[in-house]
Amino acid sequence: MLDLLTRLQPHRPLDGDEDAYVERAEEGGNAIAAWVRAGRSSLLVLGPAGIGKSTELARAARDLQPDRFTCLIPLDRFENVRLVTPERALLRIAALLVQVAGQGLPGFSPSRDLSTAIHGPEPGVYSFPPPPVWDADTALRVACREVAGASKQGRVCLLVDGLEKAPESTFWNVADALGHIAPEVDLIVVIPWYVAYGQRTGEVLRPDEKLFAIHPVVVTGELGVPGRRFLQRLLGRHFAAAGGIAGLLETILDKPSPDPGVVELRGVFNRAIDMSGGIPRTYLQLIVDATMRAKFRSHDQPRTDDLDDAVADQRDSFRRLLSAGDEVALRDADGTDGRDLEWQQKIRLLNHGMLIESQEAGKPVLHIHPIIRDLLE
Amino acid sequence: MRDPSLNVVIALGEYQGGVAVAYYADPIRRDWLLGEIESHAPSADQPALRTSSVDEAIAYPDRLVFVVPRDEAATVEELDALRDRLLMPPRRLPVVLFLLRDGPGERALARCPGLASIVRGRDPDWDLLARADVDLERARFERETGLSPQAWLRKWKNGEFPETPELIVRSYRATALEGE
Repeated sequence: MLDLLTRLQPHRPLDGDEDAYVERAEEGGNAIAAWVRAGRSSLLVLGPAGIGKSTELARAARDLQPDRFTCLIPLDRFENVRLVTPERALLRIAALLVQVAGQGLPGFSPSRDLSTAIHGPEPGVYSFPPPPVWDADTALRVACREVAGASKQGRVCLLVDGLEKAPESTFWNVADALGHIAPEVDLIVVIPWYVAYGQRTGEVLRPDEKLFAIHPVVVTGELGVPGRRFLQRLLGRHFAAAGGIAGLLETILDKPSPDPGVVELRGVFNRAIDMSGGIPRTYLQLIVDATMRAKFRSHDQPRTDDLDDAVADQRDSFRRLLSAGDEVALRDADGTDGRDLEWQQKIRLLNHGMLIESQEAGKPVLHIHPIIRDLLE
Repeated sequence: MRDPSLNVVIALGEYQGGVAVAYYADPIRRDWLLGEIESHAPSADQPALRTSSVDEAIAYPDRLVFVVPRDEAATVEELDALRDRLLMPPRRLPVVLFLLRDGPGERALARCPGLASIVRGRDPDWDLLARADVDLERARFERETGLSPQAWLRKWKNGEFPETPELIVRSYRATALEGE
């Protein structure tokens, strides 16, 4: 088990399919899909690093497939999103859409004009009529029409991931370009926090857009039971993805057992949940790091002291990210809606997951991440 | 007590091949660290690739890569933007980014939450290795093993100990203590 737990990949999104995906109690890919089906043609998704945005996007794509031809576009895997121009972003989206359609729609092949607009003219080939000169906006528009026409669903949904890493000027330029995509194309875009809390007002993409935040799962108190269960199941799926027996970890964690080893292991996993603040990537990373320590110390399983050291390392990393004034701001914001925080500081603290936003009685409330709380104390 | 050798091994992410950060106090310390970290690295058939280019780091997923930036802030921002390409498909050996402590790269990392979350827990104080109280550490080593670091290393090199994870880490500690 030790070897397998060290092979978990906390940074890798899970696929949206049934075997890999773990459903959240709320704010998951199925909820994103439900909003789109309910008629919102633009959804802006946001959340702190490591929360599972890419996983939920993959799930939404899967859920929407019966009604729409869905195309997941991890823009950051193909472009440097800090430097990408709107033209290049749109052409990349068009190229990926055509590529995915070519693989998923039997017999689909783009028109010669579209292919030329995306890939450039075939050298040395004379054709008449000559290929039109299209800008990227037009190329994407035609790509969406051709794919929608060839698909049984008759409608295209683009799910764009990675733009949350773009600096503000780049993001707004690309967002303006995405806003020109025809309204009959559904658009789900992961956006940076500064869009939600920033100073620019007005629409981001389109007039009917909805902001969809994915928050850390609640892991404390009675309300935290589903969240803890979610993280345990997530660990089980990552364990299976690393080559472990599916369901094994869930069984160990679920079944009452007097075995002291099982009791300690359950205690370690539970404490890792407490210290994760409900952020999946943090939880998995703590398990991996604690297990690596256990392995090198010749422990037969991760123990409490292994986890304590893993937490201490994360605490050191957080300490480096704190700027002057952050400690006071964190204490002041704890338990409030954060309206008194300076907005850039608020965005930075939320982005890093140092402040965790949750919904309490329908209102946003900020709390200090448990590892940061540890640090401040 | 956290063992600095173990922290280094974990930061290198032997099983994940991810990204780690090595903070250094000055260029002399950086040059020392380059050699020190390479000696702690997971077994590799080739020496570490030393580069200032993120693209080059991405192009060699099977090699240990040391990224020593010319422009720290720009490199951190580029790594943040390209991090998915860096991690997927999973690397066999990690990328170690060298940044000046309290320098422009560290400040840039505070503006790049995605990359910061990936290196979290993988940016230990590497200088602890150099700053450890050598006499105290040597005494601790002798207490634990009954041998001096030199004597223990001789036996290790002669193959008198099995290559268990615990003993591999102990060999790192012995090497660091012997070199002081």
